[in-house]
Amino acid sequence: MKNLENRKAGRLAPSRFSCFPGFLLQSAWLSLLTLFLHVHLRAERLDFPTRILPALTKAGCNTGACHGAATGQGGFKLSLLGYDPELDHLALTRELRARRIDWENPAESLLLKKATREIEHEGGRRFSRDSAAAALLERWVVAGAPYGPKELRVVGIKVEPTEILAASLEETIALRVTAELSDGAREDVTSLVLYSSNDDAVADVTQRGVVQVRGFGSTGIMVRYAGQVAATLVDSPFAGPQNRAAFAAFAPQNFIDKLVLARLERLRVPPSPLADDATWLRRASLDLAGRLPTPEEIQTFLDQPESAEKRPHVIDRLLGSEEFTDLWTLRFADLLLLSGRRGSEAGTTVYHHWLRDQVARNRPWNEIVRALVTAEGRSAEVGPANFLSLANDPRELAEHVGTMFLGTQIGCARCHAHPSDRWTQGDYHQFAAYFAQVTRDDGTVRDGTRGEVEHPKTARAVIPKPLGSAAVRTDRLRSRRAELADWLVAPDNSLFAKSLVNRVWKYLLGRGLVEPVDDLRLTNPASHPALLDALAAHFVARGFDVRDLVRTLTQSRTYQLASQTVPGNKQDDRFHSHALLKPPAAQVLLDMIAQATGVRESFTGQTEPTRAVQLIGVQTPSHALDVLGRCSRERSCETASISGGGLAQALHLMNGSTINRRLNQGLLAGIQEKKLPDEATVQTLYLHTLSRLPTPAEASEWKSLVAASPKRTEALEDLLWALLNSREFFFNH
Amino acid sequence: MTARRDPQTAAPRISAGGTAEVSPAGSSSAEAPVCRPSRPLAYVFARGLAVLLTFTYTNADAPITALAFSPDSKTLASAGRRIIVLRSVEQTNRVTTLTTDLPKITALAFHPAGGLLAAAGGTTGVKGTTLLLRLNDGRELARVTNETDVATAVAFDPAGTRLAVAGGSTVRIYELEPERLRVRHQLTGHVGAVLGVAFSLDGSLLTTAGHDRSVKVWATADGRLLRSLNYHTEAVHAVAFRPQPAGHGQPVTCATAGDDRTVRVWQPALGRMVRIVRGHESSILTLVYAADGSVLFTAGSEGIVRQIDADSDTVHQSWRASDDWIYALAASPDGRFLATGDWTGAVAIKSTDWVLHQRFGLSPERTRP
Repeated sequence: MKNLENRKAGRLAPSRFSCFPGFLLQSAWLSLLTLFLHVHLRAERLDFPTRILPALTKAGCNTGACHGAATGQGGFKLSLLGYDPELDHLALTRELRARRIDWENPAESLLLKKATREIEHEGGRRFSRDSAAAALLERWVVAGAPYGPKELRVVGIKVEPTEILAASLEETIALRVTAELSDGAREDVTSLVLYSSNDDAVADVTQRGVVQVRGFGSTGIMVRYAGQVAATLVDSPFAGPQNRAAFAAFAPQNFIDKLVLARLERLRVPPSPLADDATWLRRASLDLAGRLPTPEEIQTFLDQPESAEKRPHVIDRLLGSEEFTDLWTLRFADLLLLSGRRGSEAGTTVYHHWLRDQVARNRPWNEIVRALVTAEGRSAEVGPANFLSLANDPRELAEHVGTMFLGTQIGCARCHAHPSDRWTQGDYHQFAAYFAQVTRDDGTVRDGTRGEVEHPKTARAVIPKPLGSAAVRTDRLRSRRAELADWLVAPDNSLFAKSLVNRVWKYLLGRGLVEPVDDLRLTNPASHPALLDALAAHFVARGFDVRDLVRTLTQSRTYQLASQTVPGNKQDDRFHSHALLKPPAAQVLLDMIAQATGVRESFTGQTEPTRAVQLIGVQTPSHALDVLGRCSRERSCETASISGGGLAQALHLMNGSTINRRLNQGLLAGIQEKKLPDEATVQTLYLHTLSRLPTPAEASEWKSLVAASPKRTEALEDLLWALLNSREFFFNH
Repeated sequence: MTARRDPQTAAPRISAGGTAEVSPAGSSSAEAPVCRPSRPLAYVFARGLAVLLTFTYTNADAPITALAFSPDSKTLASAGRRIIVLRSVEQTNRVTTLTTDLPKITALAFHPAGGLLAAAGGTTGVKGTTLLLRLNDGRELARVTNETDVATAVAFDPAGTRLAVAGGSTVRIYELEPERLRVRHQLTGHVGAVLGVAFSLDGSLLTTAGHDRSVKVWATADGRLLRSLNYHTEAVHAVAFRPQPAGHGQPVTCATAGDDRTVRVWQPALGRMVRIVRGHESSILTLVYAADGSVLFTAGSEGIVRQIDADSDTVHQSWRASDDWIYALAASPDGRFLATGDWTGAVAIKSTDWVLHQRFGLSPERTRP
């Protein structure tokens, strides 16, 4: 009877199997239903890594602030942004006695009840019960919460359009994202991907993939899906009337100018005119030689008649100078974190001299890097061997290589897949494995025969593999580092060339084509993508010749533009329509002050007169350099001044001894000795500090102030102090 | 998906199986209509359907999350959701089912004297329930529902006078009274879910293991927290006291294990960690001591059972008992059998010579090959 009651109630008790005819009917019915569901579910594809996990990512379940945190939330941990689908699948279906899935009543699964906040959930309601996400997850549980084929994964995503030129503000553009699966299938995943804008002020994007233009400029829209990333570039032209005359006056000098002009025209940003000769000479001298032009150089240059060779001639002279070698040795030393506090004094010295020699000889960048990566020998004797002493941990060394030579940050992938790049944990640890066998016993760098890098998930040693390359190590007799160097400096390794040209561009033009310069990635598009490609190709074609690259950049009209804006380009801070103000390095600034005042800086331990840019390492004590923001080389200083600059620097320059103790010596003492008239004095001070003659108004103003002052010396000191504390002096413009 | 639902009965029902292979919920085998001639064909269809279901639905059976041997070692209780299966260890087809209203059953414990079974479970994230069931008629003697999340662990004290129940971050010690359970102590101190509880052999200590990575030792007399053992680096899933004969003279020890892949052996009275056993390659979800206390067994997400010497960190042997996660282990008090329960819903009983004795699913009709 109870069996009968159960049947009436629609209950399916096991006893039904014991009665043949009823069972047959039910079995047939169930079989048909199951077949239908089977076909339906298979057609829909409910694979965990390619369908379910992206839905959780989109809902924000696995962000760093929620269950993607290192320790999870509320006892439930997912991998950050879903980098480890297998682990996440186990967490959802197996952990804590499979508490998160209700096989019996899929809709009652904890997973759904929490996400829809039908029960208390600290993360709030991630989606509603009637949403597509909830329906998808329920269907997945109904289907048995399958993982799907183990090997199935998303191998790439494509976002369309690949670039957008907005016609007006408030314009909306719908994106379409297609995923390519490892089995060759393509799926429209527009509604499933995660969108973000690199600059909301230019354009933002909804989570349905609709871009809304908000302001003028350019920005990247990042798209993330199942561990893959892509980006589209949104250009929003500046408003206002077209300044056709400015565009017409911009005569391209080389391929750089053509590509910059194309961007400016697309964005309707007019270029400024050329900088005047005095400004340009000061700029080039500071950029190429790290010093101000002398009054004699200025006068000579200004007196020369205009010609096409006038400026290139100066560039060549500066490129061939010792000062160029000093300055660019300093730049590369900062990049390579030469010495810091890690290296020995002897090692630092030999490393510095080696690097300076490479710069002096204009050794190609690929050869310098190869020498650094493959160096062997005693650190106190072999300069580049000190590079391998940057870190003992092969992972840290790999991170340095990624940052310095590839302009890419791989550190995130140490613990999880990079959230905005393509690097996986496997990529990271396999790359680090190239340095696993480096030994440093007795201060001698060499390759040992033991040492491996283990993948943290599998705890197994990984095979060395270049970043983003499918190539695997084949010749086990060859040094791992030699193999790495082959790949690293290869002409077809675009990141290698791009990384350096982007840095040199920033040195000379004040802002990298990609910012930050150590963050080259697909989802951080360049302000001028075609230009970055072209510059990298040029650099490779010219044999990684740094001097040639500097010459090419400085000969461009783009480099020579005035820093003053014209109507229509004042808002531009990244498309190089005008020169950007560049704060000099601490060493250069101190040398500028010393040069302008005619009072050298003395450094502890230096017997010969030494400019700050010539100092070896960063251990020489100097309060001035520390306050001015000397890079400590403990970590990269490319993004911001770590130890100085800012308010402290400004206050020091105004009130500190670096300027004040020099005011009544050197230059002013000489002027007073020579008893120069006021007008000549003002001119001299202007030439020494601002590298130009004063305007008639300035000359007149200062002349009358000095003449009216009862104490001429103090008036001149005030003038010099004012000039040294002016923005015009401080910045390279 | 109604096809996979079990009866929504509010109260537990008992069904006793003699030679009948299947007992409907709420009916005894004697009442069940049996059409013997149709069985082979029905069985073939059932198997065919099961294969198809398995193909589409990866988890046809509920995970086995709780196992317990009766004190006389004759019966193994297993459970995952709603149904508790009591299966004779010696007679494969002798099956009794208890149907409960617990959507998930996470722990089972036999009363030391036999005759009573405690089942802990509930609705995840909503309610925790522990039932005290009388075995001879399946009657629910008592029920406690006082948690906001599923009850996760249950244990009788060796004297059979108290019952410890964990739910959420709280453990309650109940006095067994006729037809009811009375709260004697409420132990608060864990900051995450408590996943395991165990009484010492003399009943004076209760050790609890938690998701908060801590192991806590409580005095059962007054519910005082005696020690918090914080050496585990990940969640601790299991705890068990080492059975030792009276007058043994050895200090009381217990073992804990968890996600940090270690087994740690403690002297809980001193708070001293005696030993750490490494070598597991994944989370350890369950552990039991053999009845004589000479070895302990561990299992977890590797699907491997390891037999570890109780006096050293030597792994005597290990074997793959499942292709999936093993949630539950039970050692028979007579020392003859070890049972495992896994995510796929399979229960396996091995004899001490490690020959597979029985293998079956949670659904009482499914005896696995």
